[in-house]
Amino acid sequence: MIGRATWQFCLAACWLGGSLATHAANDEDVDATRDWWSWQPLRRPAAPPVSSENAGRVRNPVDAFVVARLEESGLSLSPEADRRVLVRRLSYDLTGLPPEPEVVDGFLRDWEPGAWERLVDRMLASPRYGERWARHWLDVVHYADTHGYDKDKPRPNAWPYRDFVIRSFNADKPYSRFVREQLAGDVLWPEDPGAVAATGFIAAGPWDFIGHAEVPEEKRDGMVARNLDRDDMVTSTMNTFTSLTVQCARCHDHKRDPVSMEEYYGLQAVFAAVDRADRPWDPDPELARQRQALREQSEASEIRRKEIESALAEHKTPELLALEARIAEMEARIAAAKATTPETGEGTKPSPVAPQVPVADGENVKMLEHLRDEQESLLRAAAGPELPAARDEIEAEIAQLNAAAAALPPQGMVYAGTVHTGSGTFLGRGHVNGEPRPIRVLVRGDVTRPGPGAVPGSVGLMPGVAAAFPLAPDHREGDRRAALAEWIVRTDNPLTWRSIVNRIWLHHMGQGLVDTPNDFGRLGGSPSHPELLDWLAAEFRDSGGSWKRLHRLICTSAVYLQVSGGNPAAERVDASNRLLWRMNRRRLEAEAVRDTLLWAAQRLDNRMYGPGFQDFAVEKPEHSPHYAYDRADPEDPALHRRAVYRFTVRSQPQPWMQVLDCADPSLSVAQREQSAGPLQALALMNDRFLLAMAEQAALRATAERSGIEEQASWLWSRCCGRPPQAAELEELTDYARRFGLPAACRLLFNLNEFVFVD
Amino acid sequence: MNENGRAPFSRREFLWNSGGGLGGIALTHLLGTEGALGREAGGGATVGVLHQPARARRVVQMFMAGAASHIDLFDFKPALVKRHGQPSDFGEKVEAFQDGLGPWMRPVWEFRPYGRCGHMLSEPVAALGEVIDEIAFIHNMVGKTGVHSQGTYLQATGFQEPGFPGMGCWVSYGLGSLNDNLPTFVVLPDHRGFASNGPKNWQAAFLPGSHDGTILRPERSQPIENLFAPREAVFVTPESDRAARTVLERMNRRHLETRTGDDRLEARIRSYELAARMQLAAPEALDLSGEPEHILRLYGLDHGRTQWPAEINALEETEYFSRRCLTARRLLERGVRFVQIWSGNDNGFPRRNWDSHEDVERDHGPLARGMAAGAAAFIRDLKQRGMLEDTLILWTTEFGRMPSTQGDKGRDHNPHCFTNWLCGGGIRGGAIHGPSDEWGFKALDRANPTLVYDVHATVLHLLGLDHEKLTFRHNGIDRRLTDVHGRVIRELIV
Repeated sequence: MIGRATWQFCLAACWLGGSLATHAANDEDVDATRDWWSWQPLRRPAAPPVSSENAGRVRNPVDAFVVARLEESGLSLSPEADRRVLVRRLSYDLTGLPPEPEVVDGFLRDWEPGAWERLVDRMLASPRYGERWARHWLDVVHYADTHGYDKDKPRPNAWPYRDFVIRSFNADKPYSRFVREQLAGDVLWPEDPGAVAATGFIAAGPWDFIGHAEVPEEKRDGMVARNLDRDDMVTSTMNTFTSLTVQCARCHDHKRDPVSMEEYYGLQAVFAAVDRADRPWDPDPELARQRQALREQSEASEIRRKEIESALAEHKTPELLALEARIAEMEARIAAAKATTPETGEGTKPSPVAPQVPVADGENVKMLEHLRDEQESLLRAAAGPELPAARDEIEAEIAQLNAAAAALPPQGMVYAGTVHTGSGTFLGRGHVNGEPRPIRVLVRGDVTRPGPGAVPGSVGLMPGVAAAFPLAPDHREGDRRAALAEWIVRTDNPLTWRSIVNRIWLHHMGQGLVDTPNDFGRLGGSPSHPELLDWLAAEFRDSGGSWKRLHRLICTSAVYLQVSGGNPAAERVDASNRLLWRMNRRRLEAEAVRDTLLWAAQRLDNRMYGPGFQDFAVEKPEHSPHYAYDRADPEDPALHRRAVYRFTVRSQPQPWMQVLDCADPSLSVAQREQSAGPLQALALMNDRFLLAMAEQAALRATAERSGIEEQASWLWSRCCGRPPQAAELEELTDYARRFGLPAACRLLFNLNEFVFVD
Repeated sequence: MNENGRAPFSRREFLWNSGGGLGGIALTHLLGTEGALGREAGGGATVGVLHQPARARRVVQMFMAGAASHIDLFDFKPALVKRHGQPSDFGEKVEAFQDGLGPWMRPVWEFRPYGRCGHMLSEPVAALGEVIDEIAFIHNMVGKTGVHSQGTYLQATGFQEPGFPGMGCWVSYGLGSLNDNLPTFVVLPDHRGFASNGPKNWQAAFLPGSHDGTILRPERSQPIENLFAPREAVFVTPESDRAARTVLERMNRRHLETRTGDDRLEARIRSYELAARMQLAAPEALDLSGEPEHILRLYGLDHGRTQWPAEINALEETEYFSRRCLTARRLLERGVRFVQIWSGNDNGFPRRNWDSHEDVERDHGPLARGMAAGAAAFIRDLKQRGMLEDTLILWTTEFGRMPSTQGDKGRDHNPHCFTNWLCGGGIRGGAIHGPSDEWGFKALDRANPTLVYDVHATVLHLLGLDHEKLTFRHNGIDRRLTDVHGRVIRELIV
């Protein structure tokens, strides 16, 4: 079936010979493939000089790189945008919401030096910041709250991972720690509930429920499902953190990037023991600390108890030892008698094969008590009173600790990449003590054609960054994940640092310095500003991997402060603005539109964290749930939280969000589309939720202002972030007089000015 | 083409994202393709000049969700009649999806030859006998797994995992729209629920979102999501709506005056005009009330019934499938490029799907009768309108069913062999490609079965597209509908 393949450049030479191919045809080719910008060592370039004419515009090194490049093309930065534009831009950029009116007013009045920097800091300090940037991250890792595939069953415990991302961003967690937690937080920081929830990263993608839960691992279909499942883990890890498309090597050596099948399956071996499954977890960090503290105390007490016991043992006389042997024998007999006596009335006949123990229960128990009393007095006679007293004390303490632990609320669950102990066909590797599945290099990616065994490791395309992991022969599975995490965050791994600063830059500027954020390989793009990219990467890496520091750097640059308006002369040179001679105007993402509707209506509920809200009714949950979005009540306050807390269904996405280019959680989305078609126009004109918010906003306007013109003006300001001009207000008021304020508000929600940020 | 064009100001992106409905915008100079825009390529097309002459302009894909039994419908196996009830022996170790390796089971219905070609059809699909000489069969289709979700993905998108565009998305991406008022790629799902994977079977994945399949639900008051404001929004009236569009356009134009060079703003203004046109065009296209009596009779829609029994029955299934077929014809007439018709919901119970593990006769019977009645009428209707010659029909399912028995009356999954058929648009009627073995268990020539890639390559070929040239760069790979496979099945082409 594969013999008639047609030959494309991503295609395997290995098919020709029918055997595993080596990397490339010859060594020259290997060298050629190694000559590519993204895997060259990261150096920190000096900021270039700029002409004296432009020197006044340079606010920080970012500007020097951009201005110098513009000068080469005879271009320069556009003028700075006005303050109202800037505050709206910054607010959407950092928080995903419009600025509160008092923030705008404050900024417009603040002419002290550093006003802009203070505004940036203020917004970075807002909890809304983490929510906004978490959404970008969740797009890349293709997070959702259902499995996808067939049936599309819910994952009720996926949300802790989403919360982990939000918390991490708000806390400005160093990037290297953020990465390591997601791949191996359970191994590296088992006591930290956040770090355990972080491994939700491994499980974030789709899961073939039937392929795992109805087909055992030994069957071909089961093998295929598990191979694809690990493929998603490998793909997501390497695309997310290193922008490498290693998945091309599942069926053949990567034809353009130096990634071999052996390396690819070495990455599969990293995840060979884990499955996507729920694992016990405390949502409340305080509760987790309590549970952990109790466990530690109990363990310490147990050690103390054993010490006392062994001290006591030294005092034991032969008489006492003989007595203890008798006690043990009697205990065993009582236990055996209990085991053969059925506990329920059903089938009271003792099993004919079980030996009859001639014990009258009550009598034996009484006898045992007597023997124990005797034991105790012999012990005290031999060892004195202190040791037995200490033993009694420690036993009471242990009992108390156990009772306290039992009294804690039951543990929650988190859906994560974990060693699973299951039943039926979805067994996982818990039954074999977490031993990784043996991973073979699969000829042409075919599960029925296993080749040589794969060795856990990564890719070796970067000079000086070895693919092999320093693993002991008796390492445990988690060591593999920890090793991959350490490999990724090595300071000399240039891909990692370039990849992340490019992602952050992209969301500030509307386009990446590299326009293929998930692919830094030879089929991806090249940076528009290679030196700026490297400078940012080195700066970010060397200053502790602080996101907020990088945000501040970018947001306070002159590049960021430019107007977004066009300029025919510059467009002739660089129509797509790759050189950044102006800011990019951006359309709001689906989440930002939804959040803004709620904000405009003053209905936005800023409660953070926890299970997602469900803007659908579930029909027929027993087999394949039908997610009936049309049955949600837009007035239900439960739906009025920020969209990042929406329960995201993978196979049956929310139609309104989807038409607004919401990310498809079946694949990694590095950058949202910004489409504009008739279905989107209909969605913004007629959606029930939007119309309900138009009514709510109109109600608020009537409460806040009197007189229809004042009310229309209030609505306009809320939607556009600026007061209307006279002609605009007249037109809107006239419309509101004829058709009412809700209709006027619906109109505002459809303005280009509403959905675009200059 | 690649995803690099996501720079917010790129003119190319605006063209792509503008719904594929901006007829008349020549892309050739922007896209650097050769020559003038081909006549067959519509608005929003990626392919400026067709790779080869097209035989078809439109496609209808009929998808039987749950895995329709080839051996009970289209692929007659006398050996099963002869060996009925004897222990099944496949001559090799077989892994059934469940436990369906019971005795050989004869086809549930009698088969009879039809037409000049003499192809055998079973009794429930006998309606197709009237058009059998228009149809070409592939009897050696092979899948990759017996898991519904993966099988459905494979047949719908060419890949067995999520994250890839449906065939209709690729056709929309390659050829663009033939009209300004309706979506390019329309999906008519089974109203009782989605098949495995739901809308993921027709979503654009990494292609621009405008190539998503658009769900049409003729039975609902909102046949397209948000086509009209809901009734409870009393403040939206036809007058307020009309006035809103006028004011909106004026305000948006004023906004645009100070923001030159951004085509997306213009595209959004225009999208409201297109939306208004769709509000008129969609209900008209879906309104069957103007269809004459003889057409309703042809489709079996003249029964006059509105109430149905609780049990699955042929008349009701005919109503559902035929109605979708007739709707499809009207959509095609109005310039929709690709229509996907689904039969069967998720694989739940009671079975309204083709996943007949328990009782082939009970479930396949009514579903097949309804499907055959609708499909036969559709083919005849297209033919009498002269549309069959440039409309390609593909009948498919995710895999076949085993020649052995599951339980007493059911059949288990068979990913090793199943049937597809094609019709119209350049297809050689009466042709048969790749027989299955004597049991219908695997392809007769095991080294050369037919894969979905070959079918997809053939469909694209008939549309004038070379499946190796229709690509989109995503995450380092120039993606194709046919991955790195595919061979045009020449034997099936006129």
